[in-house]
Amino acid sequence: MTAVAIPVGPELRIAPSVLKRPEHTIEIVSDAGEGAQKCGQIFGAVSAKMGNGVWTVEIIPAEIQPPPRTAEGASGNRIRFGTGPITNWGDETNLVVAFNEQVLLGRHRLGALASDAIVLLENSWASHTNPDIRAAWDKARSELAAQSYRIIEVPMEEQCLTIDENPRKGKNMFALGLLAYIYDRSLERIEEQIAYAFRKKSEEVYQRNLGLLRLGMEWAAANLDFRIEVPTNPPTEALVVMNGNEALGMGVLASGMEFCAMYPITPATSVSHYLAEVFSKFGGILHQGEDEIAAVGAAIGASYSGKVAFTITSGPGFALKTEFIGFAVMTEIPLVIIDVQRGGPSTGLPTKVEQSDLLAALFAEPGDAPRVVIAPATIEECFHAVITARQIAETFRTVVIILSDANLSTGVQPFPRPQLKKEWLAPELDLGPVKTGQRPYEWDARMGTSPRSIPGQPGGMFTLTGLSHDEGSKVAYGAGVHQHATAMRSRKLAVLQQTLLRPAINGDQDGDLLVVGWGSTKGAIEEGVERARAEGIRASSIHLTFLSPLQPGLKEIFSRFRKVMTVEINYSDQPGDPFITEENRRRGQLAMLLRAQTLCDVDCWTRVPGESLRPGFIHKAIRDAVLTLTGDRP
Amino acid sequence: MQSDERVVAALAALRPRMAAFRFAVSGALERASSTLASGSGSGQARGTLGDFGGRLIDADRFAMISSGAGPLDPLAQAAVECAAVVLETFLRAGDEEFVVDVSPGRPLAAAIRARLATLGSVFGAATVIDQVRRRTYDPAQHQSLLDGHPFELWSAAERKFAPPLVVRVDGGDLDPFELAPLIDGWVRLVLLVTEPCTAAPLARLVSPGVFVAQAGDMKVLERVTDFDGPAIIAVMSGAEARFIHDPRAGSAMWQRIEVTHMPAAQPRQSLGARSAWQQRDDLSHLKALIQQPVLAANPAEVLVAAGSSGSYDPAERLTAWLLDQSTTDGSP
Repeated sequence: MTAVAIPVGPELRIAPSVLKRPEHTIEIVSDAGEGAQKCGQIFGAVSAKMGNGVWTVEIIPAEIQPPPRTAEGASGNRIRFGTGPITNWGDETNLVVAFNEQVLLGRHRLGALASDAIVLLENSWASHTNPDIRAAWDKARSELAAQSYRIIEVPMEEQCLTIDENPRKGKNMFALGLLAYIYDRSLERIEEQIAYAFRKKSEEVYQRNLGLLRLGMEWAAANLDFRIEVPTNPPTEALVVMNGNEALGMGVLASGMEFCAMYPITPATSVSHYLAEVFSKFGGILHQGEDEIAAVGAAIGASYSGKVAFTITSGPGFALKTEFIGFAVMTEIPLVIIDVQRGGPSTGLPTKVEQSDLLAALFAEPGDAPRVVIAPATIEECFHAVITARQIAETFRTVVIILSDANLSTGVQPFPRPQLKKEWLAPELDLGPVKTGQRPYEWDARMGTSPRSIPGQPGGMFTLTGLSHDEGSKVAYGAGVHQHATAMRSRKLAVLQQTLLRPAINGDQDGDLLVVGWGSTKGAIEEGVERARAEGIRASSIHLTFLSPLQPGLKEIFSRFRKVMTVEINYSDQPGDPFITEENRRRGQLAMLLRAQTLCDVDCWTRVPGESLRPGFIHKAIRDAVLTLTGDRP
Repeated sequence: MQSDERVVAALAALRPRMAAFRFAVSGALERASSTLASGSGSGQARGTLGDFGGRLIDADRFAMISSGAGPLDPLAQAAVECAAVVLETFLRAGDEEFVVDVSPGRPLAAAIRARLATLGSVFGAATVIDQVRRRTYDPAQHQSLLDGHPFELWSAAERKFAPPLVVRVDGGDLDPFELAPLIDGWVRLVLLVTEPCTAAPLARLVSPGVFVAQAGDMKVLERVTDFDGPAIIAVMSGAEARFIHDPRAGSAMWQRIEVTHMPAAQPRQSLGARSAWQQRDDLSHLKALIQQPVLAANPAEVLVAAGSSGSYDPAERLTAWLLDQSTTDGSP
């Protein structure tokens, strides 16, 4: 196969052919710091506002500033958009704008590109003064030439230098212009979005960016022989477009929580960046502790004093917070913890997605420390989950952990603008006198719940302790007291579980295979199941939002399918690998939980690729699993 | 009513206090609304859980847990609704709620008490709401709180939140002894007195913790804005005495009281219920209040004397002894 390079230049004017597609996936990739992400974010937001379904994912290198022009250093954005709703990042990219051939090579080697992908490649490197760079260019082009990509060389630097003397600062807007032409994006909306994206910059910067945008559009109009139409479906209701971390931040505002204590950690930090801009306008306080432990301590202190506070972190930070989480459980101080998961263990893969914190969220604690764990599956759910979490934390005087992940945190998706309700807000504190004789842990013997005393309430004074205590918060080591208190703290989860609804089944109510997922994989799993069903495979799926306590009815639902298999972004041993037996095989984290809770033989298909799961891979896993059932080897 | 410039000026000076009172009332009204909403059970639970929780959680069951005792009983709900009406009625009313006109010849204190009882019904309403929220509402005990809440029944906290009042009264009806029981908490009474008036009617109310003033204009009200205690001020236009007793000004009476004007002539005629002798005695009382103690110019002598007599408390005796050990120029 030969890559096709079309000649470029203003002299070539071809009536472009318009390719109509129900959806398309594009990537803009560059070295870190060249603004490819900004370009992608603007394109994604504009497409969403024009009425396309959109899911964007950031392509982020593991280091903050990796060496330039390296395959591993690709930074940018992937945008899948279509006429209908888009629920995940899809499989392969159809069009790439690459600022150098090395980052393109990186994406190619990861299998990110469709075999017929169109590539718009900056070509200044071909004539670079450094012979090593020219050699690298030639080598990369030969590797890429073995594919059937359509590579179009674009003189980005040459063009950008006509406006900005620093081409590293202009290529992203030029690339945006290319995409705006190809996909016929609204110039007015792009200008609005640029104004928003550069709202903290000067008018001069804004105007220069508009100039580069128009330059890119003009170049594309003069040189490209194709355009791509992805029909829009203008929304009938007001939509908002944001990433999962912004949605979490807005959920915090909507829930009425007023205190956030955190310590910066990727990929959770941008929640606090967002709150730093707006929280104080709503009476909130954002506190950056000196470390993760101090942050959770401050949040517990704020919760103790009245309203529910929260802390936000990622895996390594969560590990540091465990002792204080136990304290909150023991003292029954309501607390919301947001864990935006990343690859682990240890510092692991800071910028990459993984769902490996589930068991830590559920169990990482000495002693018995039951807590509620919920996992939003979409960016919209990130917003609403915070409201529910606060309500549960307060109602049950317990710790609620929200498990988001790097896929949700950086992904951008449109969803209906929430109609804010006053009832979502934390209620006003009742600082009236406590009932005469009321004790600080006056547990309802059936439900484990107890009224909460707020410091300052007349008659409500007591000594708070993390030691085993009785209903009066008096230190008590007696076996009976500890048994009872532990039962009460645990009972709350059972009571909450009794209020939960059974998970809805996506697909037929029975069949050969039930896929079980949790968190951000919902869209990809459902798309994979849909493709399998289209082939006649009797597969369905459920997606669990409550992971502690688990939603009811699981065992009965499982019994309707011949095989149950979780799909997760965490590690499991592969059957057939050396030394791996049915007895010693380590399974996916949800699979382990479900096996323990239901005594069903739950299998798993899990991967830790450092990126979201692709629906095509899930589809194949489903097909293989069903083939195994029927006795055919996959 | 407010066309009276004095009333307008007095209300303007008291506006921060009026705003604080209104803010407290609106807070109580919010509590009433949230109580009524939470008493409605599953609908409210569905609301508080948000769209996400509403899809995953059985709102009826959750409501039973979150409300503790389930929905409000009809009597409690009706009581909160009545309380909300009381609070809303007050919030809709204008500044006239803070102005009392005493008809000539009518008892001043009775008019003030009646208005405080009416305004106090917002305290009663707040109490009813709190009782319902704590599930301790007892109609027999608490229902009457909504019908008016006499000052005598106000709690210490309620007296700290007392609404300020501007009172227009004839000078002849200004009987200080009637007012004494109303001075407590953060009560603010600004009496706009119509002449004629007795010479020093408020002198009888001077006591260590009370801001008392007879003044010719509203400027004095600025001094009382941040005073932490009860205050009573008469604004007069005749030849009556003018004085300010500010408890913050010193520990001794003569330090706290500042007299800027004394009538040249002694009262010779009765006015209202006050005889001429009583009026002269009011003036004498005021003069007595401003008398400085003998030897006050040299406190050391007083203290030395106190030390030798042994008639003061131990701290004063110790101080006197120390002074006695040193010379008056400070050298050991």
